[in-house]
Amino acid sequence: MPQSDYFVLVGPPNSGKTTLFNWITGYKKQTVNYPGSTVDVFFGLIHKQPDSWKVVDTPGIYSFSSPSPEKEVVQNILRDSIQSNQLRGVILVLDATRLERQLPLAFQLKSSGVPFILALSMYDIQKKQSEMDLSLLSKKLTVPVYPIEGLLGGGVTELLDSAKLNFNKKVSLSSVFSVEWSKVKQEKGLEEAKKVVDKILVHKSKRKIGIRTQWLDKWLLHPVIGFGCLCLILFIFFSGIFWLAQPLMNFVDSAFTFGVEKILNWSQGQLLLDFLANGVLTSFGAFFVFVPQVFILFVGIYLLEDSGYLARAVTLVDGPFSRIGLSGKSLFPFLSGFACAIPATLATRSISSKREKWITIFVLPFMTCSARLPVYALLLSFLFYGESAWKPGLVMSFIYFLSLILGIFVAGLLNIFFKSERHSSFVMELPLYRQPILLSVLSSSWSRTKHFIRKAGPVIFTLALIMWVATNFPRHSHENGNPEEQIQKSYAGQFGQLIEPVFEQMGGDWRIGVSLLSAFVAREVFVSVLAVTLKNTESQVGKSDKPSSSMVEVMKKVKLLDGKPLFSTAMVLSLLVFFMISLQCLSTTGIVYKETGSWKFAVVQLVSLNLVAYIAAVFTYHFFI
Amino acid sequence: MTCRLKDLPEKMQARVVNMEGDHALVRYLMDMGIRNNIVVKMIGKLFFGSNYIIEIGNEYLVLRKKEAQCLKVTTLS
Repeated sequence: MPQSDYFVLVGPPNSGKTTLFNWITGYKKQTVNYPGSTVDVFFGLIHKQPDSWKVVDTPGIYSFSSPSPEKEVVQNILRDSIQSNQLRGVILVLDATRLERQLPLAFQLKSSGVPFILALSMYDIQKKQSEMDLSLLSKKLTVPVYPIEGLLGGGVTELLDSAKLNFNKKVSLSSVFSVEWSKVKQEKGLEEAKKVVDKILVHKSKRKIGIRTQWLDKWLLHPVIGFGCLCLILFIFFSGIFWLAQPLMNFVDSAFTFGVEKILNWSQGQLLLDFLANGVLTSFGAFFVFVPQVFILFVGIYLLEDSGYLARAVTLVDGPFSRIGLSGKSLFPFLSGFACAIPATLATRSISSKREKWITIFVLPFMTCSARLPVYALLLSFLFYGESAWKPGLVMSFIYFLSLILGIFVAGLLNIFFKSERHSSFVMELPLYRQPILLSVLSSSWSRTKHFIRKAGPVIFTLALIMWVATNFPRHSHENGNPEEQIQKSYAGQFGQLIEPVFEQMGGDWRIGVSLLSAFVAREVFVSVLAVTLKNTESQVGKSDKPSSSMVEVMKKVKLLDGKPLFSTAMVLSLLVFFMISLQCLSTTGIVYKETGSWKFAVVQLVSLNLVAYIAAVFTYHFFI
Repeated sequence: MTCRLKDLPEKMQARVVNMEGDHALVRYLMDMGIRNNIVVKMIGKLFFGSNYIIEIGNEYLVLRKKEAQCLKVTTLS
């Protein structure tokens, strides 16, 4: 929490809080997890006013009386800030076009005694149907009311001036509020809200707001045409992500490779520099190469969300998803999962039902994340060596599709075996279609990406350290420049040989074992570790041959001790199956633990998926051999 | 005619006359602005009746079958 005085933005979901927050802070914000929760809170300074207070953007809530993680966080922020004598007041943000439904939140806040002013978002749209007597509303609530224009930021200066005037002393309440729920009380609040709204509406016109939205929804929510549109939008969305991210990913990859090579040139066998290059830079390089994709993914998701379409997509898929224990809101994490399981796991926070959230998290690793791409690219290049490029492309598409089907199948199984007494509730509002504010979309996406980097960074560093120690110690003849011997005699190598019989069942040897184990840092590490372990083998096996230029050529030449090729079609297929099912990314396991708060869940997911992946890989090998 | 919201034909308007179900569900529905006497219009039913789109005032809400089942409505002519 900030140390200086601050005021808090409170309001229902989609009421325009974050847009107002962006206007107040000039798009500069910091995302944090509120202690003890998995709910994000944003902090920022009032733009161009260095002497002023901080502002806190809280998660959306409908009521102070209904239990939800979001409500707990908002209530705790208010309680903690009052106790630490830092709260100046609350800006309550309500959507003018939905005032009747949202006004009870103002009544609850008023009864709590916390000073607040009311910001009415979407007022420019509301005015098209009927204007509101805002001075009468202000009189009824006994608080100042200010209309805000989200697209251009109109009314923000007046709102801030009023905040300074009204929040001139620190809040000191003897007791923090707790709103007890009763049906009668809530009904009274809703009826009171209707009376107030009826009274303040003036100059009613026959024009109805949302005509364009209703016309669009006729098609976009159509049981058949709507699904067709959804498929088309998702296709454009994914193609866009991969197409736009590729040049940036290549740039990041080249930059890290350049850095690693430079440091290794300087290192002259120094352990610390070797750790920096082969441990830290290699691991972070493998991680950062996906950051452009994650950022573009967030941009796409925010564009869909801010335009109002995401709610429609969730509505369309909720029916089929709810049949297999998922929620329509699982769509958002699934989309993210095709880039990386870590932000996808974080995205499950929007799912209110614990059961649906856990089933979603459990099947997320089935979504083909981009870390698998280098592995699939290598294995498919081997299988279709010298053949037309469309063949591996077609198989790659099939793998994507099959992984999705597998995820749905597993979710269905979990839904059957883990029945719950309580069914989750699903009531969702469909916002009006709006033009997204590009700056706001970019700012929110960047903030999420930074949060993702900060959260995953320490986990990756720790795992990089462990894997580097495991592959570099005890030290053996590294000074002779024989990395294969080093890896073979390292702890990881020794362990790989110890469990070699396990990998023999899927046609591999200790080299495949070590590569698969090292992929637990990050899947794509499989390719680089395999490259190191195979390179020397190739020089030993084919002494008369010229050194192979490509990894696939090396794979073609490498042999087992009995002289048979290490990489047969059956073995490569078994590896493909293993990668499709397994959960190798330990960073994901760390994030899963943080999100579910359960080591048991994280470990069961890790062990069961890898066990099933192994059994399926062994079966595949023996089937095709 | 009085029926459950889930049985309300498309394009038809009705008034909510009762909200039945456990406290948590009723509270959740009221949080979303649904109350007795409010007028709702059935806009559409999705995926074999899994989800229902209703109109309240100017806006659309989506409910699952369970929520739509706990709302008793009287149709308006």
